[in-house]
Amino acid sequence: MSIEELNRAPYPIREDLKTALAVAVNEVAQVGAWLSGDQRLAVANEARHAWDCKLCQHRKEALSPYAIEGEHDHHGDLPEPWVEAVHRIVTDSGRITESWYESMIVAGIIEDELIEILSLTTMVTCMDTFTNGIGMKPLALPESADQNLPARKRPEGAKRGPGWALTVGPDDAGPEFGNFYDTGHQFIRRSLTLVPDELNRFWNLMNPLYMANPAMNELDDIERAISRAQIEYVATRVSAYLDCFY
Amino acid sequence: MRLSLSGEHTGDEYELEAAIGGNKKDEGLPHAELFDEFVDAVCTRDEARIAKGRQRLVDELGEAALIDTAADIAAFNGYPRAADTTGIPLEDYKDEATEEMRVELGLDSLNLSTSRPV
Repeated sequence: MSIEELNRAPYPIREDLKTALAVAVNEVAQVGAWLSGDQRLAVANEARHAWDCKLCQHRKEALSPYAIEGEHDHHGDLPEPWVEAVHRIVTDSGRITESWYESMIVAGIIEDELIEILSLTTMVTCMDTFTNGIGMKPLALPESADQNLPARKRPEGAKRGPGWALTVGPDDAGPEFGNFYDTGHQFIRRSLTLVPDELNRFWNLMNPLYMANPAMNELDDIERAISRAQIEYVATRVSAYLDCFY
Repeated sequence: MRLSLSGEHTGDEYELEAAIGGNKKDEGLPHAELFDEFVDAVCTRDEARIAKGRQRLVDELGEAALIDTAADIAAFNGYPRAADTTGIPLEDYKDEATEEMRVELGLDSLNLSTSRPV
């Protein structure tokens, strides 16, 4: 995918967002902190495929989604627990439980891998939601993957909490976090801190989609064509669809 | 919650219930119904409604507003997934500050997602 694809969008995309999308989609096939380029590409393709999975559709309709067993429709490029993780994050994240999270680790996914899977799956879903909204086909993923090996190094200071995942809080954050916590300590910013490289990839996309510092008043120095109140109104309604009021 | 804070900052009053599908009258927010329609269309992946909502947004608010609305919808397809998968709770100060609002809006039993196909 090149910036040209975004330049051909049906409506002009502001430059900061266009750059972030181009970088994000190209990084899908780059070596990750814990996942290889091939694994990342497979996760991204599986995230797109999850919407068509019959098992996920049955679970989504069920009052007790964890009582519905079966096999996912999948591409066959990932181990079964990885497929379950990707599909659940895409199609029913609002009902994910601590026991499900733990079951993924018991099933063989290293927690750091799970966080990278979460980030990547979420980023692909965000990009596809945006392009679908503006009437554009999903951005083309890279055809080949980076063959370098991931460093697979956990940062110092990881502790469980404030949720059920390991995170690195602002007091424990080492130099690999740079100035990440300067723009806020909200819990959501801690969610992916177990994998600092992926954290940066995630927020480099999310900031231009929404805004870098939501604690600021109104839209000081940010160019948007809808008001702050309209932005938050839309955000509230979308979050309701995902069963999330964080 | 941010919508409420924004209202406090600007002096505007918004009917928060409207944002989660309740009261549709007198939301106080310009073009709320237009945003409702587009968000619902995108979140239910209804291509015909998306196309219609997209055109309305462009006609009434302009192309840049469509981009920013679609980007906002995309962003909030991200934060909840990251928060819910890692079990991130509401911070204590937000929990206390929004207690009354959450009761008023019935957020603890919130579920628009039943209308969302997968």
